[in-house]
Amino acid sequence: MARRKSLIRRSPGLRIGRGALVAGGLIVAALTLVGLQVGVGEPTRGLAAEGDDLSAGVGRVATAPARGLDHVFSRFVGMWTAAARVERLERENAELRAWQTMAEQLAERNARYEALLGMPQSVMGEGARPDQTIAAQLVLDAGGPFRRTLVANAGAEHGVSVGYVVFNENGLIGRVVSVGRRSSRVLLIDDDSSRVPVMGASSRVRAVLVGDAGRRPQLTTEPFALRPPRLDFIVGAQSLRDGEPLVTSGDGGVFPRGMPVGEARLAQDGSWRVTLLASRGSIDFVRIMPFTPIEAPEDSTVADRNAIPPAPPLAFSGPSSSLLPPSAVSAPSRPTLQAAERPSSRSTAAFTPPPAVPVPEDDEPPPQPDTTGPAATTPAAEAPSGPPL
Amino acid sequence: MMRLSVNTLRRIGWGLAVASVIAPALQLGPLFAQPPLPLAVLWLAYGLAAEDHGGPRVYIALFALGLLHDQLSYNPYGVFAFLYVSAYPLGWLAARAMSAPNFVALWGGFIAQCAGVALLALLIAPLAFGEGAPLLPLIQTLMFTALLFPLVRPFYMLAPGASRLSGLGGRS
Repeated sequence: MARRKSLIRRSPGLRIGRGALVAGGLIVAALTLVGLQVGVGEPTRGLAAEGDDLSAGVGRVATAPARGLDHVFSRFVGMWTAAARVERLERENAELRAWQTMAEQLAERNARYEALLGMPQSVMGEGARPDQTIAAQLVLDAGGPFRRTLVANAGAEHGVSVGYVVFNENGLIGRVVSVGRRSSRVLLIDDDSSRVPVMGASSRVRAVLVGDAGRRPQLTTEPFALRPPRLDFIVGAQSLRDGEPLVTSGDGGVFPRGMPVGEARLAQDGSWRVTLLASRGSIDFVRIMPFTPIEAPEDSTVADRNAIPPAPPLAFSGPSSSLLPPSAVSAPSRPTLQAAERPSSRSTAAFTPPPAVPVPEDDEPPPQPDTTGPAATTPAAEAPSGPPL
Repeated sequence: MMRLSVNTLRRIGWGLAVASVIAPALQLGPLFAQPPLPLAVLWLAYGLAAEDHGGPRVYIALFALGLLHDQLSYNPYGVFAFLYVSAYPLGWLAARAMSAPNFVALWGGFIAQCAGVALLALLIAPLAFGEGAPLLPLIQTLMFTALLFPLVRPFYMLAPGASRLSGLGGRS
């Protein structure tokens, strides 16, 4: 029997074998791999996307028995409580009928208001394109200690691109960060590197949803606190209510405005946490939606053929002149009587009309109203930081 | 009572290690996420190190399991590969440092190995994930892994102190 080769002899008592050298080489290789990926952008994750394609297919097959069993088990359990559930559903149905009548009345009234305001469709859609959503099923769950991602079985062949918004019937789930041919990787909003600009649905308080790796996402207002304090912000921060629904604010142009996210919860330590709507049930089928952020006016200038010439200083306007800011002129159907009825004692010196106000074309998105808010330039709206995705 | 052979136990141990890498990626519920699902590859690395079953194939297998874990977890490639391969020499050192022929020493050695892995993760996580990388879930996972070690010890090694050979990378 040949004696094992010893490549290096340090001393008669210590022998460093081939295995140790291989171990050392692999450790160096692993460190090199990590180092090579530091600061590398998305395109170099092509190998990872290919791997996602492969693992998604395998995972779909591997989890099929578990899914089937889960379905059978839930049906079996449901049989025991069927009578009670029917009674409860009948009660809820009766209540919902009343709510339905009210909702229809409110919808009709809302439609009339919108028609009255001349609100363009793009404002109501707020950048989202719900008719172009892609249905997908989540097939892999990276339940690792570092990352909170999921793999959906829809990829570039289905029209998915990086940055698409992922949601289900409950609310926002995350966004696509990597796309393979037949799969895509979704970064969940509770991942440590996730930042989602949100606001209170009723109080309109702006905040940033910060993932907290395993815990319920933290709601931090720090990015806003870095800006010079403003009275409206302070009032808003105080008016956030425990249990208030949170929706995306649309700041930063990563997520559309108005998507339901969760409910604000005041923790015992005084910090705000969020109970995610998406965590109400298991995430299985999702919809992946393209989202084109609304461009800033200076990035999408249009010919000012309909521009209104600069108005003269309002202080010199005659009695019949409108005291509205010039931007209001772009909506000719808006009644201006209220302007003439304003008390003359109101100071008009603060109005500095812009040079021209272009009329929004049908295919041109209007300026986003909330981009003038304090959140428009906060770092919170940036794409997830951290590792190269 | 049926007694399983050593080879069968070893195969189960390897299967557990592979399952601990793959199971978190499958949508099997929160019980199969990490934490609390243990990193069974560390058990494997410690068992191999304690009994001195080192060799290129073992290291390559650990490296491959790490790469697979990185792929499924969407980590930068190399994070778990580094931790798993490094776990072997850490386990080797720990097993020899705590070489008393009793189970407490063996368990202590594994806890020491987990502590070493946590330290290495502390070093590599900022490089791989940037500043503020979440380490708490990994530490929780390591704690679960260390706590469950007594239950799975037969899958990875014989009786305490039964086979303690000398020489890193001796037998393969």
